[in-house]
Amino acid sequence: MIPIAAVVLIIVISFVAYTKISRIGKTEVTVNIAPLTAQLYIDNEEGGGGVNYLKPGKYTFVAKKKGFADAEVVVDVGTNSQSVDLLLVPNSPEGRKYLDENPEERRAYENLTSEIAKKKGKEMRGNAPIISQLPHTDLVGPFSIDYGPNLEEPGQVTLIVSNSTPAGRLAALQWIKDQGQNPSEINIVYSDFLSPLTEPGKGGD
Amino acid sequence: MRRLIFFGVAIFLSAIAVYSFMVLRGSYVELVIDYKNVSKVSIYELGDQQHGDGKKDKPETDSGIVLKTSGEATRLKKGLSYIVYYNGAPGYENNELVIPNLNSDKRLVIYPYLSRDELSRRLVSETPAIHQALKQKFPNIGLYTISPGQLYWMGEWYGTTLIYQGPFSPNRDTLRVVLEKKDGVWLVRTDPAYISLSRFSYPEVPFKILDGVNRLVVPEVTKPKPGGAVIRS
Repeated sequence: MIPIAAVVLIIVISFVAYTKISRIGKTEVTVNIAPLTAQLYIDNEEGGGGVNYLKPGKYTFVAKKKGFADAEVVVDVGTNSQSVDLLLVPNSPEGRKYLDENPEERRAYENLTSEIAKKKGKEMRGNAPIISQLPHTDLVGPFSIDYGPNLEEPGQVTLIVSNSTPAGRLAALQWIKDQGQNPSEINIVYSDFLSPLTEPGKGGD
Repeated sequence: MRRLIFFGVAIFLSAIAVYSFMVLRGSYVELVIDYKNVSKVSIYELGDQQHGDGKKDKPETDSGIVLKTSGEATRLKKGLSYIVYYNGAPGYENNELVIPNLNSDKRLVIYPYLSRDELSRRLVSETPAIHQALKQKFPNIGLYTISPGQLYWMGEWYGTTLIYQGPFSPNRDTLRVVLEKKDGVWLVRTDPAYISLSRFSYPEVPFKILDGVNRLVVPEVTKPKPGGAVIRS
């Protein structure tokens, strides 16, 4: 009896030791995939969703499933644990049918969509704290400021100045500065403005 | 026996001396500064209260180290922060740079930009070519007054404001524009010229140039007043 217990103990200890040793110098990367049955490839090698341990460096994560568009993310894995989200969008009736017929997959899909939206919102707030003050309207300016994603730079924000006159746009710019935001560091679109410099006929309107 | 004790004490003292030397040596790091177009470089230790990014007041005490030649190595206490002041040669700017927490040997290069006076002097001769480049790029430039603007760095970057002077328009905003001189030709780098310039819209323009142009003050006489009228002098 005792020898069997000892062997089991040695096997368990060896397994734990092997696991710990094999993770030395590697970073914990949690891969969230939806649908859950999609196949993950890390640098073209098959992998699995959930926790992976990788050496610091640049990796390409690709998830594939029939009926869905491939999801690909290039991640610079550092020394701190991080997560990677891969959401495959259905691009055929087959993909949509799969989600409809598998409530668990649909739930996972919706959860990951919501998780990604939350992360993006948090990232945007971190990059531009001014958005906690938005939307903002100044009737005297006059101007309104709201925000949306910066399509040229994921995770960044575009401020949209509208309902304004030239004086209003000047006041909006001053308001943005007053909130501690440097206009050089954020994309600002003046939606009412058509430049007379480049738009023929806008000078004498 | 006495000889043995004497020998042991000698070895012990030698070990202490070597250890002290190593500790002392390890508490210093080497800073090498290469420079060009600079007349004087001096290094000062920064007090705890002076750490940060803001402009520092030059210490009043004359305790700084003045470098005699470019490439000269200086030994400085490890782990402290330092400020390096440099006076540009005639035509070049004076400036300073902070070295926070100097923990290992470091090599710095100081090539100062042109001074504000020198850039202003050069702007006079560059203005016709700059205006020509703007006219070529924007046929409607006649609706605007081109402010004198400013050259930056070595005179290869230029920024200015375009102040609307055309007939009444709901789009009579003052615009900002950046040009770069490449191979002797001025090129507009912020097309379209815009009310404010962001690093995302014009990634090819150095951020410091964009930021400088965003901070250019629009001449007071042409600022629109709330309500919309353009004040003309």
